[in-house]
Amino acid sequence: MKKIAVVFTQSAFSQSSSREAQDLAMALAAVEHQVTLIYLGAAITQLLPLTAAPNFGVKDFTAAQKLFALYDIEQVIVAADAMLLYQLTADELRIDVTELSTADISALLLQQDHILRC
Amino acid sequence: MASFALYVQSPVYGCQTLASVLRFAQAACALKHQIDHIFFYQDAVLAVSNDADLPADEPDNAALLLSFCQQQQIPLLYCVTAAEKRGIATNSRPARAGFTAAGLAEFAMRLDEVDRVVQF
Repeated sequence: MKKIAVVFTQSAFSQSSSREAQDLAMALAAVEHQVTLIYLGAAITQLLPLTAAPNFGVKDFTAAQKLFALYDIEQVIVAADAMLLYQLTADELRIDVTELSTADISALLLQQDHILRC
Repeated sequence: MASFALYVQSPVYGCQTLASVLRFAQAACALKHQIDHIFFYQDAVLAVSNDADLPADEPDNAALLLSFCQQQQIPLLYCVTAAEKRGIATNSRPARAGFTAAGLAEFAMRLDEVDRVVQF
């Protein structure tokens, strides 16, 4: 078991990387790695609940975020500066998150065995 | 001596990605480090396409990487789901020989055994 951080950097549907990053994070958790998810910048919008199925030619993968707890993904971090930039509060997001400053995120990354940035 | 996993997710054509992967792998092997495997995910799976028709003055970095990895016995793995989503590595368009289909679970399990992951 390794401590692995998956860092999300893209908004939800601009390209397939967000969906594939989430699939990767869940696969890592499924084989018992200790996975931390970190959402930076526009990636925090991945965590906004959609009120209707999107109708723009891509599949909605974000609903599976409700399974993070079941996969024992304990830490879901969002960048506090991104929350400020996008004028969002934690209670607007689909799942429970922890807001951290850039300095605290850097410290958290230092504790990891592996980091994957998507 | 350290063991490395090389994780490739960037686009692979029209850019330096595969050349960088190859140079890193060559340097690591020259210093007696071990490359456990190279895993292709996201748009990097286009590297396994068998029918890319490159201009004559464009280096085929996928072929150069493949040749080096075969000589060093480094497994070249790609995410089969990511490839299928891009319409490559299917029955009608098989992957380039030398690349092995794998799942995310295999990549995840292999990370247990490596010291470092280097992302391209």
